[in-house]
Amino acid sequence: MTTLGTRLQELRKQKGLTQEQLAEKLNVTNQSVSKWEKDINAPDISLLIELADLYETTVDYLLGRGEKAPVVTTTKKSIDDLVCRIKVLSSDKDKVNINLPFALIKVFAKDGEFKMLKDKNIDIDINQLISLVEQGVVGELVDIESGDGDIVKITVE
Amino acid sequence: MKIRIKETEHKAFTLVLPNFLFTSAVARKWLNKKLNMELDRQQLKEIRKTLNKFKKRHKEFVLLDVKSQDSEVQILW
Repeated sequence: MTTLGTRLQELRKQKGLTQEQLAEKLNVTNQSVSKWEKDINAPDISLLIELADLYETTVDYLLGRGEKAPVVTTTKKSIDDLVCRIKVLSSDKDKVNINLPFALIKVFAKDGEFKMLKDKNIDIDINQLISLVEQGVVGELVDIESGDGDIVKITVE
Repeated sequence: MKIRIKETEHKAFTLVLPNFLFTSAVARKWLNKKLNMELDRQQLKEIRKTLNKFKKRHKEFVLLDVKSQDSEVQILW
């Protein structure tokens, strides 16, 4: 199993930070960061939350609960190679999974919105989503619960 | 394209349709009804081309997978 230290080191490198820069951001010593990454010591809870925010992931992921990739990351893949996965779990337990090549999102999102989601009182700015992906941002980009209790997740990968 | 339908009281069955049919008659009506979209022939052709590219990379690309309490529907491209 991947340890907390290994994950912290991987995510710091992905973010392009040195141990010194991270220590300065968190207001801790370089030695503390080094010890966390060697699994000699662990950051306290409040720092774990700060680290998860900084690395755009979850505390669960840092603590090794599942092998789930960070919630949001960046990619150099072409938009034509990306898939948009829309998962809807309705309050009455119906499950709908729609997988679309990302290139088709522009065709399906009329006037910047999905009618299917709009009908469920879920208002997502699809143009903003497209703009994020065009900048290389991928991962679980939307995770919301409507007033009716429907859960919608949009993942681009 | 395959459409798999399973209802609790009936046996599961699979409809196999040529892809062009989906992106002509079926898709046109379905998208209009469900998403209020009026797509022209050129747009439908674009959809078919993009999906066909994906077909080369994914053996059976699952476009839609719906599970409700009494039925399951899967559309594979």
